[in-house]
Amino acid sequence: MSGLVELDGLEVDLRVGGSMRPVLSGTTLQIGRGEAVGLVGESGSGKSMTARSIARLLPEGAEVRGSIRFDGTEVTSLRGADLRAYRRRIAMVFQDPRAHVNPVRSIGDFLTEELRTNEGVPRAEAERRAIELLDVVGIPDGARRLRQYPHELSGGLLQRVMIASALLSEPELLLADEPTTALDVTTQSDVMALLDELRRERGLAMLFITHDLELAGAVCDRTAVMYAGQIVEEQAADALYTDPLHPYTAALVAARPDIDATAARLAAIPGRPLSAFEAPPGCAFADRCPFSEDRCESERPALMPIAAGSSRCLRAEELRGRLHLTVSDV
Amino acid sequence: MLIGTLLVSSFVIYSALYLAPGNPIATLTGGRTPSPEAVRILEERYHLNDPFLVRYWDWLTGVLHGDFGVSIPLRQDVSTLIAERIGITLGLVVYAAIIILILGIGAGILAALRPGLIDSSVIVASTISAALPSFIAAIVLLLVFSVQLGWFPAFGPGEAGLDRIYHLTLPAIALALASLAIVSRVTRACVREELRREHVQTATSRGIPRHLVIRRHVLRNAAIPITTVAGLTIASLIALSAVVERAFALNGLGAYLIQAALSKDFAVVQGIALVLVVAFVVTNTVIDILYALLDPRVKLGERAS
Repeated sequence: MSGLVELDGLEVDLRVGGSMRPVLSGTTLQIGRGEAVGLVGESGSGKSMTARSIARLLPEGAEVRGSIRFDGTEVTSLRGADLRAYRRRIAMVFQDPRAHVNPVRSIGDFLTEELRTNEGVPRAEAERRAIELLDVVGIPDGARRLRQYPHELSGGLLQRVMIASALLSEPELLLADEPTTALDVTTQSDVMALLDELRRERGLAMLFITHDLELAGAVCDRTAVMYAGQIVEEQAADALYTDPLHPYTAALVAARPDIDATAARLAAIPGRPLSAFEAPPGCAFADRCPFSEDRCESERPALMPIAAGSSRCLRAEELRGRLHLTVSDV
Repeated sequence: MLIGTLLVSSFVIYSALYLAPGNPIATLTGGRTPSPEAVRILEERYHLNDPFLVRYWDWLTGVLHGDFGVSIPLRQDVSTLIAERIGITLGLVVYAAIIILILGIGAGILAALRPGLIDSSVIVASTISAALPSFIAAIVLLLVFSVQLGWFPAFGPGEAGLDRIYHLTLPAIALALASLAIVSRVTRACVREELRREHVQTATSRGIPRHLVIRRHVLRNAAIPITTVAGLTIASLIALSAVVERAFALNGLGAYLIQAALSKDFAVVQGIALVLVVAFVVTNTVIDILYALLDPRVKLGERAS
């Protein structure tokens, strides 16, 4: 598979107060052309920071080591016009459309800004294309919508507008950072189905960030699981449930509420998630892991290929096949 | 709304002066005790014995016809007295407003976009100018630029035209300084805040060049709070101008207001106070209209959601 995006040993430190704190410590990930990769994990595990690193949208003062290659070009060192040209080849769909669309500019302005500014498309032509795309994302009467302002649209409609705007520039990679989290449940599935369908039609590659393992499984080819700034497991999306390769994934699967069973108390992983800067010298998950041994505390595991995926667990081979059964009893 | 505000303020102005101690006849007669006959004639001529509401009504209808009454000590029409002086005050306030808008907003934007030396210098300069009350600023400016350097005249409004602008430069700076600091600080904070907004990130993520992101998304959105603060500060200059006019011996409305109040020239005080209130209300209305133009979420005549 030809890699469109290749992250290799990506480390990111953010400036917090006076000191630097790692948020990503050695993230390695490939996304092929037209491939959808899910990125799941708890809050603070570094999912968004991974997407932001790819889009070069890290906060000021961030330090980046390692490499991000897009279509063979090193992204971390791009500047000025090259950086802007690169950004046009990717598009981002953000979590909260209300905050990510300028409230004082019209929908038409938001949709056509890039075409008019970067590609020199005349306004009338850009608007025609915007209306066409609004229709594709399920917003009829586009001409009227273009004259409206963000506060006149519901969250679901606005997220559709955001998706339309992402597709309008015909990107090669879509970075979707929890695109449905801010929407109400009934709208979520509509928006998700739309995003999935449009992506497949257009052969877009996508990095899909979510908390929701099942959702990731439904729309992605492969899923990567993040913990404390690292990818701990990566494999085909549907295999995560049946054949988890890392105890953390197994614990996540076990912690999903089951619609058929009545539980007195929802299952939870003991302990609290660590951020990358708190990670111990050994395995970051060791103190919450029911399978940890002495060497897990001292030896930092590497992301090793196993079966059809890869896992960052020292005991991955020996635990394979036993993980999901044992963990659900914990 | 506008008319209501003006009506209420006119009533407050009129009744405040009605209740104020002092008697114009005493000023008129210069401290001598006039004969009861003279007092009676004077009271009749100036309607001093009519009931309060009748006098207010007479005054109000007069004002609506452009007649502010007669200055008792000067025996001149108040409207003429005001008309002679309003130009200087207007010129001074407009001049100071232009300085505030250009320098204050300009320095604020520069400080927000260029952290480091420029930012720190703007902060230091605005702290100093905010700490200076306008009467002290006036004295310092006079000492340095008129007395020591001799670049600017020390007093008087000069002849109309370019000479007027030249004469009003120092007073306008003195009047603008404190507000300049507020406006530049607020501008800096608003632009900084807007720079951090998510929608600015969206624009950046689409590969829009930085100067366009700043103009279309950062400055465009920051313009809304900046307009409010700049507008209110400029409106308050109208009242502050009295101090500066006195320091530079400008024959403007503010200086005259003080003089009239000291000599119990009630008709003049009422007239000038009303003019100042009208100017304030009009400035605020202009801000409201601007606000609705800048922010599509605000509709005129509706409450902001």
